[in-house]
Amino acid sequence: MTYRSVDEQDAEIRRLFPDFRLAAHGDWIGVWEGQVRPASKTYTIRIVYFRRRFFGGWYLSNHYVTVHVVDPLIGKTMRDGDDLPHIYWNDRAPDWPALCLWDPDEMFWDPEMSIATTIIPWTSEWLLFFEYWQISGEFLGPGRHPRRRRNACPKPLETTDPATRARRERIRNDEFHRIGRKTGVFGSYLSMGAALRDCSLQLFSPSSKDAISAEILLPATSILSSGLQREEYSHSAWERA
Amino acid sequence: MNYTDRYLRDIANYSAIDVMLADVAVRIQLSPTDYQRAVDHYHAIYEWIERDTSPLCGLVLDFYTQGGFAIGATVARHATDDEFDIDVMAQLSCRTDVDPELVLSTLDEAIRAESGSRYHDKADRKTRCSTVYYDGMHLDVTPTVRVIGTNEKTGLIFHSKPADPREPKLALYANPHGFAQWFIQQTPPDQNFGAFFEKRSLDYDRSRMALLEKRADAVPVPDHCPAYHKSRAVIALQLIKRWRNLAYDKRHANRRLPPSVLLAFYVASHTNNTASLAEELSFQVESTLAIVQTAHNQGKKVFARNPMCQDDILTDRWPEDLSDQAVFIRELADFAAKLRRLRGDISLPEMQRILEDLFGEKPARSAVKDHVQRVAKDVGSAGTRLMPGRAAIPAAVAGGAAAPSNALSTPSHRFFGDHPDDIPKRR
Repeated sequence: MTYRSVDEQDAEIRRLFPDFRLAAHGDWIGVWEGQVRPASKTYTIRIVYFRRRFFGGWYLSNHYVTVHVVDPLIGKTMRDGDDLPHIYWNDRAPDWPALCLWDPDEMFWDPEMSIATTIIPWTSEWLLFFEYWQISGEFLGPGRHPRRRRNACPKPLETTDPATRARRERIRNDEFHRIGRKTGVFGSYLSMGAALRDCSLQLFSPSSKDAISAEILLPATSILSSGLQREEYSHSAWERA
Repeated sequence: MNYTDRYLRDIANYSAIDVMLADVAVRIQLSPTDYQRAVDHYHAIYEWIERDTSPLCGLVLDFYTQGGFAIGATVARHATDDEFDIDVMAQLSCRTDVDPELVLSTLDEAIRAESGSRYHDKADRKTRCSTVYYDGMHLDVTPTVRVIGTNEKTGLIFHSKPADPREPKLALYANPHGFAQWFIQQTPPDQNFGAFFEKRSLDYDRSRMALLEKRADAVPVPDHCPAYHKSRAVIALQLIKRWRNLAYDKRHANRRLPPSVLLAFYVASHTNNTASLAEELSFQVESTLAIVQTAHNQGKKVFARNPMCQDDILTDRWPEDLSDQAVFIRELADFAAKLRRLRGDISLPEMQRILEDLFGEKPARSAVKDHVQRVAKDVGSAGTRLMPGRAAIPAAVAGGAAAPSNALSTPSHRFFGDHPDDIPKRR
């Protein structure tokens, strides 16, 4: 079984959920928006799909597929003092968490799977359990939610070898520009986020109407090379070409 | 049990609020097990009144159910208990010009009998009937005398209150049996909805009885119970009666309730106009409101008579005055507005809040939680079924083994969560 292309995923999504639209489309990235109604309330969701995560020496640290609720912003409905379970926390934009739809210890979603028959239905289920959680504080959907590690940052391995650092910098630079050419967006990581805010893709902001800083985009999508700390990203190396 | 795909496709289209309302009705009605107990009590009291030493021995010509029990619309009286009223008629061999007090007191004597006998401390004399109390229900036995030359079972019922000499003694025309037959004819069950509601009632009763299985009088719940093959109109009537009971308990405890028979008359007069339970309930409430409001606007009390007995006035005791009517109008308007909200784009928390307000906390919470638990069971086992389009989770088939062919089956899975940095990475 091969990884499904964006077009293949789109065809199946449209067959089962005709109101979903492909908001952004690239060779290896697809973004859909559409509405689901698990019980009696309608939600607009956004699905970001990466057909590939590996680009030579680089990989996207994101999952192959990520789901956010665009309307209403579910983070705003959190109960006082309670942490909403089964999300990937977005500390910088708490209204904008990604949904955690499968347990990676049991299975791992990859692009061989259909978004239409897994991700969208699972999102609908998640939202039903979310609604009941708002009533009772219980998330009745099966699963586990490990204790939240607030403010915990990963500490990737550092290298002190100048040659290795230079080689990684070069690869990262080349790869970044290749991705930039695909998406039509270039710049530093931060400026790329800022550019995305205004571009037609609007991949990672809750709403095109909402102003959102590049800062809070960071957790949504990150382009990492293994073993490098985020602090190492050189703004000067990633300036607009 | 095997279900046809056509049936499953039909019920899978029921909206969440349709199913929630049905599940609330399941929880406020007389359960199939208790229905059987009520039938047993009914037979037992008939035999008791006819016993050899009874003053009515040989004088009971007919004994039959009436009211909510006869039309399948019995509901729990209060929010805090599960007390059900079962109404029966005892047709006595007697002259029509008999003293009303004599009939009522003789029936009471027949039921209570001597001190220490089976019903002596369980019966209570009322103005028009005698009430026998059981655990969780009571039987109102109303004496009647047949009036020859009128419609089947048309007769006189009697009114007397010895404790209050100012209260006149009356003999009133009534034909509750004819009314029940008319109501049933007016509200035939939709085949699929009837089957769905019957199954839902039996499933709930089974889960309830599983908790009570150690009870001495526990009996197995049957596979079928035709009495629960109900129409949407009957369910709507049950929900309206329940709403009335709670609204008047909470806000108008000193006022007489709008009578059940009048509500049943309005429901049966406006049936067969809708395609879903929520729509039916909404339509019935709006229709009743329109009738009462029209009379009120003309400065008149609402008036209705039994379609099977022109002399049987359904509004003889309510409304007593226009203020009774004004209160009912205000309450109905609020009910109608909440039902409109329930049928809109509404989250589960708001839906539960409104259902609790209208029909009581216990049944509303149980119905909502039960639905979510059914879906949770599916997610963790065989996977859920969803409807294409908006990925709606069909509440009527969630948690069941059978699914319609047009539903989308999804693989089972488990949710996870945390900060993405804490997730084990795979490549």
